[in-house]
Amino acid sequence: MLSPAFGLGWILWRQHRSGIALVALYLGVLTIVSHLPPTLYSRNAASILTAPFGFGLIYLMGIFVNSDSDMMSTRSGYAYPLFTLPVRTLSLVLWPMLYGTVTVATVWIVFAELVLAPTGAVGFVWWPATLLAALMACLQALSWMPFPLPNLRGISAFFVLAALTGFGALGWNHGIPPTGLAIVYLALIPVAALVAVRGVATARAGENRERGWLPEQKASRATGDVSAPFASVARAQLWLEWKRNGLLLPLLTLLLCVLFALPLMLALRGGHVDTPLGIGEIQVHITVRLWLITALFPLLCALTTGCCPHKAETFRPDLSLQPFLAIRPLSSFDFVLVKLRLALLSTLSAWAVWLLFFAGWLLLPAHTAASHGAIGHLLLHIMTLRAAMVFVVLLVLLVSATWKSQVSGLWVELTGLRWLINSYAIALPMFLTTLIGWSINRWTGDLAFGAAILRALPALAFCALAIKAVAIIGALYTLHTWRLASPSRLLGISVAWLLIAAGLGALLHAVAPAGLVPTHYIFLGVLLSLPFARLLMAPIALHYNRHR
Amino acid sequence: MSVDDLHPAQTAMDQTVIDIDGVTRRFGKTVALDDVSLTLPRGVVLGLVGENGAGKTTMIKHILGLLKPHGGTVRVFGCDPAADPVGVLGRIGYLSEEDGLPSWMRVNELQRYARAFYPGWDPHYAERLRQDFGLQPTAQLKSLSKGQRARAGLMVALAYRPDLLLLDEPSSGLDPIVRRDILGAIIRTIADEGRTVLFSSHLLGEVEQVADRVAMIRKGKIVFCDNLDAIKDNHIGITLRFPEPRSAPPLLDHACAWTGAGREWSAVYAGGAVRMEAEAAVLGATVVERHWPSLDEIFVARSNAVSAAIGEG
Amino acid sequence: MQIHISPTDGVPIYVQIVHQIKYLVASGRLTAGEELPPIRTLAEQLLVNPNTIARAYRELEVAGVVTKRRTAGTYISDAGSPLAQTEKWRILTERVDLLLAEARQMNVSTGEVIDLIRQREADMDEAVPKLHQGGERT
Repeated sequence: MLSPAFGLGWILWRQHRSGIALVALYLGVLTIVSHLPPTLYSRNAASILTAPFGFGLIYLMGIFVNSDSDMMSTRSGYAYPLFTLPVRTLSLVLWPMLYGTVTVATVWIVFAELVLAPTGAVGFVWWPATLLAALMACLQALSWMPFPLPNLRGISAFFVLAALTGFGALGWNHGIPPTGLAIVYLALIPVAALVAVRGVATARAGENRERGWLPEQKASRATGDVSAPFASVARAQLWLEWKRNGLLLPLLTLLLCVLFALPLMLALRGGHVDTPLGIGEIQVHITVRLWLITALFPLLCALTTGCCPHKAETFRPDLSLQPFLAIRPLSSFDFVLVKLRLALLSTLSAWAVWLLFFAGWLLLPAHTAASHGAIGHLLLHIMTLRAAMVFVVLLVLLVSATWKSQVSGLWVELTGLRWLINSYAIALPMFLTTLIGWSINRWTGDLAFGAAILRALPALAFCALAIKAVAIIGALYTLHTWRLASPSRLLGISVAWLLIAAGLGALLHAVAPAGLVPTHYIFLGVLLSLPFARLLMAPIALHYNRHR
Repeated sequence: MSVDDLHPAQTAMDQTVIDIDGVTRRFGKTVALDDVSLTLPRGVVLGLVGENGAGKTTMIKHILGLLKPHGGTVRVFGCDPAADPVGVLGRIGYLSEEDGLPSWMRVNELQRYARAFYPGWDPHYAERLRQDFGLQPTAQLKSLSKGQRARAGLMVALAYRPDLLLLDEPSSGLDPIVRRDILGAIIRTIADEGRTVLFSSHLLGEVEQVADRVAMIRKGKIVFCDNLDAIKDNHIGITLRFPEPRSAPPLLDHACAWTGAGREWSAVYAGGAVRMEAEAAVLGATVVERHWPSLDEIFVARSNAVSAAIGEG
Repeated sequence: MQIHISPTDGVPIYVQIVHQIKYLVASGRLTAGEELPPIRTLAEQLLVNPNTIARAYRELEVAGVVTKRRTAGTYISDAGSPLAQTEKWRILTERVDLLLAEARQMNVSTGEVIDLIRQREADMDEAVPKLHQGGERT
């Protein structure tokens, strides 16, 4: 290596060159598309093509953070092997930070100048570049410094990033000149650098900032009932999975609820009544409707945790099943069943957290035109049986969706194939965002197109169902011929699935307003959205991964 | 005295534990195992030796069913380990160099977790092992030294008295005291009737101490696999003295790793004493010195012989 | 009974054990009727495969150094069984052959070799009582 600067850059480039090339290629394509004459390509469509740009930026930031550990751990995330290089800590920190900030800022400027400017979409270039650079530097500093408490890194990262972007957005709206914003952001970068250098120096010296009382406290709790053996193999495995991944979803939900639901609840206390709410005739503050959005939190968290490989696996270059698990005498089918149970447990805990907040919300005072009282009390008065059923069904659907979003990716995740997992986690959402954006764009521009889609919907659904049936039969056949599960077991779960589908369909049919949707469409939708083929493929994926 | 007489356990219980037949395995273009065959009867301790990357771990992973052969068959206790993981893995105790134990677990949690999987788990034995190894029950695995983690892994691998103990480089990078624990575990395992051990190691002294049978693997092929006694009988360290000085080592079948100059040349001869004397006589040389080569010498000699043959071919 | 194994020495471990037990007997540190440790115990003590110990005991039995009593372990024999005599002479002949061959290679006459043997014997006689005293003291 010619110099530390070159060497540190080369390591990053060598590790991620294909990804960086992909981002560059994407920018190139965008540039070409946005320079096409408007007659060839609608301006709106071009701007929708830019939607995945955010993913590209996040990916680039991830490269320059180059973190070894996850956001919840206490130890420094700086790539540990680099500590042994004969390079000063200052260089170890400043060069990657310089590369990172310059790269994200440059990418934004290129994007704004070459892609957005020709379409006339945006009028500001420079201050968002400084914002991105500041975000980059702060992320690096936060990832690289050791923290005294677990999870503190994640929480502080959340607040710092929210404050940075919030400041920009508010400042822009309140007429702070762009130069002022840029100066503030640029001034933040040296601060972040200073923090990062101190943090990395501490970590490099091997000092641990973790407080002693935490492990001890855990130890005293752990000594409780360890002598009692697990009731079954599945229990033992469930325990391990729960300790590894189970708490993530409920904790995230709790965090979101504390951050958003609680402030909304408090804001409500002294609130004045202005907007009528949809349910019945309770009149409460507008925040009620906002607050009801919190019911989506567990689902949102599950979507983010479900689609990326689990944190324990991000360290390892190859994602094959760890020998520690692979050598346990438990069939791949049972392994997957444990994963499904874990998802259920996580989902229920996350929803229990939300329901706690919901119960708190029900106790808050509100008033209708006629009376005052707790929201729950008022609701009870005006709630019809039907409305209650709708609420329950909605809750069931949300809980199911939360569970589903955690398990439907298993068949990809368990293969241990990095390219497949990455493309499933990154490329698929990008593709879907683009597709949906494109269709909405077409739809709004051309009503006939929308009508055509609506007409074609039943046929499309039946096609999808046929594909699903084929996939299910294929998966069942493979499970049987590979002897992953006994025929009676396969029959049992198939029947159970059909019963659940029938039950859910009947429930929906009961609460749906008569004549809104034909009954057979309800059942079609249920059959399509209940995961089965993917679940059946999960043991096959695990079997492949476990016995390569 | 024939070799078989030395191992009454083998002849009495003629039951094959591991049967690897013509296994070939590739990773991309590299051939990790090339038509490997190996059988291991019950009650035998097999030492698997070979350089780094020779295919030892690949072979052990095939026995565990973590890898599937591209050609040939693997049978463990008569079953295909990849097709019937539950039946096979329940009877195997496995410890590898990279312990892979979840670092967040505590020792007692590890005991409790592993116990659920093995019906033969003996809690008293596990507890005794834990105490013998000096493991604190509430210690987190990540806080343990490498040696202590190896002991924790060994405890889990032994506590259900597995029929087959598979150790993949168990002692590499560990201090002599931990190595003694591991060797002791192997000895105790085989002292219990009918248990089988397969372990790979770089430390050939250890292999010589505990193995009944030694298989040497190199570049994915088995160089030799024989009883240790037979190997020791077959290989002779010789020094030949020639009437005239020679500039190049003599051509002698079965002799490898020649060193020397002038009239005296030394080598490891791999064809047995009788043949060696006859061949030396043909060359007109006298055997001036002979000794037992250590397994280390045999290993180095045979490795060089193979690489020479590969170089020529 | 103290036995030291050197696994890197090259000499098969059972041979090392046989040699050392023979030496212990010859030097009087193991006496007739004394019991050898059970195979398993010795195997765990030396960290050596039990089969190796078993083979060493068998070789010793063939050589007449030890006798196996049914279900009661292995004991140092009283010496002097006919089998032991022939074995003794066989081993000695082998050694003497090797010795003479080496002497010839080094241009040492047989007479000088015999003198050397006498000399060593005298040294050894001096050494053995010392060993005994050492043993008593501890």
